[in-house]
Amino acid sequence: MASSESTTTSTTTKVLRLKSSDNEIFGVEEKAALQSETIKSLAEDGYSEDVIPLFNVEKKTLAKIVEWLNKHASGSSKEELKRWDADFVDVDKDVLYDLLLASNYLNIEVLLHQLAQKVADMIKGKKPEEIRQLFGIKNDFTPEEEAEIRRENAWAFE
Amino acid sequence: MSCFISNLPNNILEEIFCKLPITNLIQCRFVCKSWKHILGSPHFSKLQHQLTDTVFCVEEIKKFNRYPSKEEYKRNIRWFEFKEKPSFINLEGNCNIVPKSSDSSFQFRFINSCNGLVCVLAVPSYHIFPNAVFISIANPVTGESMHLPPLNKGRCLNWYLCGLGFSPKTNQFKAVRVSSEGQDCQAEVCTIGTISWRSIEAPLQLHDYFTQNNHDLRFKSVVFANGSLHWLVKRTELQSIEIWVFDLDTEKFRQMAAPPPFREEFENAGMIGACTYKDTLLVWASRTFLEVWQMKEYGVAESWTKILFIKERYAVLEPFIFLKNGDIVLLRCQDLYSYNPDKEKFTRLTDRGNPFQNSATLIDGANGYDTVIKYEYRWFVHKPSFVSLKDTVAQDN
Repeated sequence: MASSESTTTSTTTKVLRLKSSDNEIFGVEEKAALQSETIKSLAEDGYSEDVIPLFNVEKKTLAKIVEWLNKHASGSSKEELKRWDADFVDVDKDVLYDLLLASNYLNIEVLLHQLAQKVADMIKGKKPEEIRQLFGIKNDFTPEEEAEIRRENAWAFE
Repeated sequence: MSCFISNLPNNILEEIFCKLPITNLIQCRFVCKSWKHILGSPHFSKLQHQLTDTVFCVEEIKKFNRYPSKEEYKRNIRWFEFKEKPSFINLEGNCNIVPKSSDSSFQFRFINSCNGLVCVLAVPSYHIFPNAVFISIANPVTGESMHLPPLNKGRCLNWYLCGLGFSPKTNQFKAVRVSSEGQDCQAEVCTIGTISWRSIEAPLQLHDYFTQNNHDLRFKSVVFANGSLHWLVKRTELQSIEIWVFDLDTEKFRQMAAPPPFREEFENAGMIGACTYKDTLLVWASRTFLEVWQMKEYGVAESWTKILFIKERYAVLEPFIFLKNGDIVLLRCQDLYSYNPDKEKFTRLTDRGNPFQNSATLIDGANGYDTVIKYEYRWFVHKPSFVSLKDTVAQDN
């Protein structure tokens, strides 16, 4: 297959072309792009010479993802990467949501972990009511159910 | 704004939940029904159980001795997490490893912890009814607990030979107990979820134990590992140690080879099981030293390997948890330390709240008697989990 040939014979950096759901094409170096398991398997399936269609990711999200892929393939120092990642995930909730779904779909484990950690940090130390407020979640327990839970687990509310 | 987090697929939510300490997850259960559902699901329980670190639980029992003959108790559980920075979490209030219905006239002895549940022995404080000792099972995280049926009148429960295990074959929790009446001994199993104890075959070594009185079982040793419960037994006449094993699948007792003799005579000894060091079994002994042996390959006597030796002249060491970074958490001079084997260095962990700091306090009573407040501490290691006792019981009915 063409893809295996090119990786073994040429040493020049190969660029994969990723297409967002709204038809924007991003060129990404193969080394960076293959951090995504989904892209990796699509590339192995022979898409590597063509455009790789990513139907579930919009342009604005893919741009962020590409930025992350490039940074993480750039050989930055651990400390620098850590700082950079902290800035990267410091976005508002809508963007976070899109990034979570995209990293899940693209199967980029490291990124998914970072994003999940970010949401976990937002939840950490908060009481149920504060968590509901933060994420706009509706309390769907009946007053009876809530009283029951509180009785069972009074210590958790100290 | 639409609620983004509720629209996330379950696997992402689980990913997020897995990154939270258990105390936060307890809060998350009350956010909404779908979160409660995810957190209570067997799938998440399993996932989370693999990721959760073992915690060191301390039960503080505050005794008010208002009158010479009457004592009142207040119990508190704190646990120590080793996640980022070691820290104490106060579970003050209603955290029950003790069944709610039981009153303060019972004292509770921790027996063991297995897959998220703990097994305790309830002993009447006044010893009026020595037969009224019973076993109870609880999940300190969900607050659930249940009593197992007590013994028939006249029989005596052995405080050491009992415990809670999990049968990997049938996916059931099972408790085991041994009781005696005179020289007659009986072993029984209770599958959690059923309401009665079943009698099982008591092996020869148990009969010996009850007739010959030359076994010492007072070690911190009831541990669950590899589908079996283990007890460390010292044969006083032979000055040797043995390991007794109860297999939860086959419901049979057997004996297993103990490590080669310890280098020195020991004072204190115990075992460490599955929840604290991979799924292998450790045996330790201490006096002016601490020696730890690991059974590298479960069931293979030749695989006992000494993994640690610390010389410590002034304090008795008691190890609890082997952390992922290789450090060992241990008790030294009534305080928690971590020990780094490479640097041979102790680090005190309890700068931010010593679990054992309260000793006896004397308060002037208003009515002529002094009120003595005494603190007692019991500790155990536990892997917190959301495994639901209610579901476990419902499944089997």
